[in-house]
Amino acid sequence: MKKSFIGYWLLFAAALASAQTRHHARQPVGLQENPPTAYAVTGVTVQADPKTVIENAVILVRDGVIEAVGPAATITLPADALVIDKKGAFVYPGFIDLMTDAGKKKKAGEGGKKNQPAGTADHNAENTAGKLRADSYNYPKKKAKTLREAGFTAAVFVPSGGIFRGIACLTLLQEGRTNDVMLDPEVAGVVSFEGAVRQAYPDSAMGGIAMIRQTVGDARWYEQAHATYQKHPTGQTPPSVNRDLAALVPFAKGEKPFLFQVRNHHEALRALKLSEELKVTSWVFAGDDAYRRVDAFKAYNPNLILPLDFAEKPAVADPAMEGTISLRELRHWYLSPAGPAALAEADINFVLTSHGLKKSGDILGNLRLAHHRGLAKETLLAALTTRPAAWLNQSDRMGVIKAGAMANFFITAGDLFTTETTVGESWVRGERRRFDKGDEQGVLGDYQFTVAKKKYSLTLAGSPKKLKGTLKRGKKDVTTSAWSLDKGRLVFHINDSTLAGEGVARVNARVEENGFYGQVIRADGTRFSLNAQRGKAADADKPKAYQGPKLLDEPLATVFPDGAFGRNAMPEQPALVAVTNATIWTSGPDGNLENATLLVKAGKIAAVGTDVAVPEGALVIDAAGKHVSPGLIDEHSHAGLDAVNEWTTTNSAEVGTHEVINPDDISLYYMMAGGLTMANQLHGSANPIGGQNSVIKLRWGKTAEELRYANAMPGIKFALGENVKRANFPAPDGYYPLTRLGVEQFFRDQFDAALAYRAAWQDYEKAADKKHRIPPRRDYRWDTLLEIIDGKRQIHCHSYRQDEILALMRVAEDFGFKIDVFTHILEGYKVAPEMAKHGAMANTFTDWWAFKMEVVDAMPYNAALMHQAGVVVGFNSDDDELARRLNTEAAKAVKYGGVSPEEALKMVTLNPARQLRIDEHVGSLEVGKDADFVLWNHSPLSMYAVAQQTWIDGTKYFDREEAKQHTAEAQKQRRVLIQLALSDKGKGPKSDRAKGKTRRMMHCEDLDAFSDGSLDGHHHHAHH
Amino acid sequence: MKPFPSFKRALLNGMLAALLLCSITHLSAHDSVPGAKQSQPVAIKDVMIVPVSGPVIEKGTIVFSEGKIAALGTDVAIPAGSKIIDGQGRRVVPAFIESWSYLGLREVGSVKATQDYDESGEINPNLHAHKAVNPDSELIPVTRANGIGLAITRPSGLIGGQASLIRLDGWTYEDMTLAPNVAMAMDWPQTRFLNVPWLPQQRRDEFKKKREKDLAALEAFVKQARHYQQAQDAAKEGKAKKPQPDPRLAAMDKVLRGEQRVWIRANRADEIHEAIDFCNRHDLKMVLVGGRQADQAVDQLKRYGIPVILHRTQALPSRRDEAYDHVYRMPAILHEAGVEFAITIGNTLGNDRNLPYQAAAAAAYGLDPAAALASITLAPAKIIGVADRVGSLEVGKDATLILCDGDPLEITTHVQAMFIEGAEVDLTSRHTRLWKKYETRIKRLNNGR
Repeated sequence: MKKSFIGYWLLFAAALASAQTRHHARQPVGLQENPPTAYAVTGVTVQADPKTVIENAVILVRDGVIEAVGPAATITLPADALVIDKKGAFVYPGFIDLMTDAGKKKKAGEGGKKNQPAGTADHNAENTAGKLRADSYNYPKKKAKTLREAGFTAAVFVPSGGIFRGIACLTLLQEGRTNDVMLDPEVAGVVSFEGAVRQAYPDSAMGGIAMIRQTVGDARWYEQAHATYQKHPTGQTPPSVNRDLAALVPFAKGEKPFLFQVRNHHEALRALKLSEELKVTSWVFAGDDAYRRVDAFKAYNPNLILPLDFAEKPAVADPAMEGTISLRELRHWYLSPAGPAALAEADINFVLTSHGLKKSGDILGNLRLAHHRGLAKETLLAALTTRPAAWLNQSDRMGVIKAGAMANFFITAGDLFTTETTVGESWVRGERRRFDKGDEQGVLGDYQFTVAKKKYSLTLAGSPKKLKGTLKRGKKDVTTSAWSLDKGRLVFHINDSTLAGEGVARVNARVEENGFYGQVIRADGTRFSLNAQRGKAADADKPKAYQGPKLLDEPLATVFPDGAFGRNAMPEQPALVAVTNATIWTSGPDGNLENATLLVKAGKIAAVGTDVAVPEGALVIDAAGKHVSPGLIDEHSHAGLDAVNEWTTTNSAEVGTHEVINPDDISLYYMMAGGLTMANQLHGSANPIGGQNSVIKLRWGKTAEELRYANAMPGIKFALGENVKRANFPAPDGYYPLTRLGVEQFFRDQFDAALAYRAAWQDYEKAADKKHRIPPRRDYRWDTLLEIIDGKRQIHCHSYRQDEILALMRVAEDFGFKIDVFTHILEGYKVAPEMAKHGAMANTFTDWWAFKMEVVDAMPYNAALMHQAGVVVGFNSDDDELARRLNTEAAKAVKYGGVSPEEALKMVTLNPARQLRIDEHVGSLEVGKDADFVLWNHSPLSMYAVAQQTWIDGTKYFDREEAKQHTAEAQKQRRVLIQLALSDKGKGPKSDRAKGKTRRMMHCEDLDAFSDGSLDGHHHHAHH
Repeated sequence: MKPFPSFKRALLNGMLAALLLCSITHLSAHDSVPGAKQSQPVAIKDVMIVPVSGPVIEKGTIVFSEGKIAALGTDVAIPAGSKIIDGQGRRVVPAFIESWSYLGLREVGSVKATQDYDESGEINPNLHAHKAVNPDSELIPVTRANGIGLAITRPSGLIGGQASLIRLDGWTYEDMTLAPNVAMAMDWPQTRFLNVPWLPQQRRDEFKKKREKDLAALEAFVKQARHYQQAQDAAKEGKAKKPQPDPRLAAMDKVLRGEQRVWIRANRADEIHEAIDFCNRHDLKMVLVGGRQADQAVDQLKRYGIPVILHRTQALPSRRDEAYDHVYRMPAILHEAGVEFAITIGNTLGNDRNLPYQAAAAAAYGLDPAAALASITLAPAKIIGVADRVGSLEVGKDATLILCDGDPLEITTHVQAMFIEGAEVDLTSRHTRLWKKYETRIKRLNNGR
């Protein structure tokens, strides 16, 4: 086979001509141009579709369409077809990339003040749902070349930036008028959880989710409002016009898909959950780490987009980085190329995208790597051809090589999967484009020519950049020099009197497929022509066999969550457990029991007492000399969250931390190891009305949804004081409130607005001509406030100073609801009697003071005094470290103010359970309650107490002895993977995709985990 | 990408000091009166004496006079005219020493006007921490209420300045200073932001650059200081003119002669090894502060006799792959390896009072309880170089001690009396006064008044 190697003499005229569809409404300028379009590609092995291979085949192309394909014997070559003999080559259907983009990305903040939405655009610059990517589409020359060199012939281009980014388009990767190459300008509505505009709502992943929910609802309402108004305009205010809501309608109604362009598997699962809730269809980019939760994905039966851009190799080569690289990172590097295979194994429907990869060689390399790591050829091909075609409703014309389909395919010298072949030709709608593979390797080899009846042989060796040519006349060497090759132009000098005369002859030639031709200028200035025929190609021409990277002898087991201390399998719940001979702190009416037994049956407490018989078959834990307490409960936590504050609006009641739970957060493990079994994941304290909360059990290893505690009462975070009045950091122009006075008014205003919203609905529902009236718009923010007024959602209010505590209780009383829990509440001791009267409970901490002005009067006797005044008091952490030792935090109530030990322990067990309204189920060791308990080696109030075991739902989630083993295993696996990474010589592709980032420890005042963190992000408790 | 990357940073940076000055005037003095100088011998009898330097004496008597311990044991004659305190079986223990604080130099975290530990520039060896200690800081009575009688206070920075040991009671900073300039305090450039996933690559690169710059600056400064010293010595010997004044370089004299130790805060293994190499290269006497991964440098610490002041045991592991209790276990690991160490709580805002619980957590996770107590008494005294006066109960040493009603490392234990050099210290604080004030309100209301 003759290698096709020079890309520079593309048949441009023909290419452009064939890029034009014949079906358009334009008249030609000047003369008609209709070059012939019939081709026959012969002698090839055709991968007609993922399952079908045709050997020694012929493909007939005419007018950009495949006229026929089949074994040579079955096809008659049309007389007008240009025959292209590609003997021995392989032909694959053109790949389709479902999520690509090119050019400058919309940068954060571009939509700022200068760029306020105009015309009939949505008021929120994060909603540009009506923006058509097709309208700004210009042939991205460089990107298209990369993609075509990687086998792609069509791609979905997505708009960038914002939550509702606009509408993606499907286009052929072909130069030409956008009208002619565009296949579908409205393929999918692209959404993300990541805002692009500074200081604008939303600015956190949870805000993004809430905005999508609200906006999809708005689009449905918009359609109804306008339809109603069209029919019954009389007597109604016309609804506003909004091009972005209008554009969203078909997507909101599920008629067309949303494409969720999110960042990692956590967000992908959230996108799937949201799609299910909103009843919309979606394609979800699942990140390079989707393999971590295959089962969770499987449950949604999703359409996933997986990247071929796998994890980068951790910087093991630099010893200075040793301390910064985690096992999770090392495992990810090793496991992410095997990710697609793992999802295929579970029969999950996915397509593959090149998104993030900049070089065609990297795309093809990673495609082979995915195959090397277990992804079957058939699935791999389907994920790049037939599946995307089917999702795009283009199955009859794309993704396959069959009669009637568009002539979109590519040709390689070797097998795509088993050799390091490159794409030699890419055909898009019959337009043939040939590549030189980025170098001119294909030029190397032997050539012959004849001058004055003398035969010459020429060999080009070395590399195109360092060309080594040798010329022989017969068997005799001819002296040459100055060899160079640049863009197909071959230049060299001949120092030989036969050819040059007296002096040096200079050769100027162009290399083409079958040889080279050009002129020789002899020493005397005369010229003669040279026509060299190509002989044998150099070995370098043949693709090398692909050898993937070295693999471990033993596969790495999947663990939940991935990384050190993940589990191979979830712990099992024994039918019966008896903890005997223990000192049991019941936190219930029985108080403390010596020498007692705790009996657990199927996850619930069956008996507790000093005379409990141990049934046969029970798993017996002899706790002689040990203490048992209820599992500890933290009323104020930000652990296990990917976002904490939606700070951009003073009321963010519609957002919720339950939508951004990160079950992989190692802090959850640390906390559980310290005896904590439940945490209340609160929104931060950046705004007066924060977001909704999430109560979880620390079932380490489970998914985000499985961590959530079903019995918990819905709640919301409120905040007062310096944070919400922006006392210690700059506030945007016009920010309100800037004083505690304004805070009080703001609460009143918001609840008044919620009541007005309710009244509007009631009017509408009661109206006799309801069907003719424009309905009110459903507003999730006001709905949430109404739940508060109705007593269906409890408040956890961040608070310090007595005045603000008192003022908020009065607001609540005026609106007929209650502040259930004041959290932090450092000056609670000053108004404890008023709190008791209001029915407010208090959850505080002992040691947070002196860090800002509003905590100058904080002091450790707070808990005891509030307890003394009859307030239900608890201790919280607001900190992942403090959360793993809440037991000794409780001891501080004994020290400061003399609370009894039993009452003190209740402050981290029963009392937080009461505060979360779950004391019917947890918080004490009483018959019928969940068997959440901790086995301690000392009194839980002692500084010497170490949790030995932590049980949740009658299941042992932590065991100190097992933890030691896990540590050793993690260290061993780490060493093995570092050595493997060191032995791996490949540099790996450079990605330009923002990888999913992990969280840092967050407190009340932190923003989204994905934000550009400040360098003091890990400081221990600077502020609350 | 955000208007303010973190509220915290804004808190630290964005203060308008002048604006806040007016609102903090009520913080300018606490109400506790410093203890009067010991005027008569004091004898505490029927008490468990925990000398730290020797075996526990059950039911003993301890006598101190003119600020010094005069006698202790089971058979002790009480001098005539002594004030006698019935110990009632409680314990006498040396007052605790906090070894790495900003006490007296920082009042309110968000108010820059109340802070005096962070001077302009990174290299300030000529600063002396005790000179700006505010004896009326509200944090001081709160801290000593939990048994902490002495504290190192220090400025921060690459070379932050000279740390001083202060008594947590007194009218003036001069009263309070027990040992000035006991160490040169340094914060080693950190590595922890080199590869944190939540930081964008650009910030990580900036961080890396800044770090390299800092390391180079330290190296250059010490060489310069050595040169300056040479010039000064030459001038003293009359061989050269007196060098031009340069207070920073001049302040390094004792450090370079090995007469003042450098206390270097470094936590990650890389930082620790760099700091050790730095001190060896320049012939400096080092104390390691922090030491979160000191277990990875045990051989070097022992070989070069470098003591460690471990920072907080109540802390999270510094990386995901470490055992959950790695930080808790660090003191036990160092103890078993034979490395000299003390424990500090280190710069917690207002919570230096929780020092004993840092030692207790170490004991909970395997450290010998006696060693745990020593880690906040005799061990820091030795490292600071004041073990001849404080840190243990021995005849002739300062009567700087506490009387408490239980295991001194337990939270539920109360410190009932404290003596600093024999002077009885007031253990009330702003906190106890607020407690009593509002307890009155609650009691009245509970009684319907």
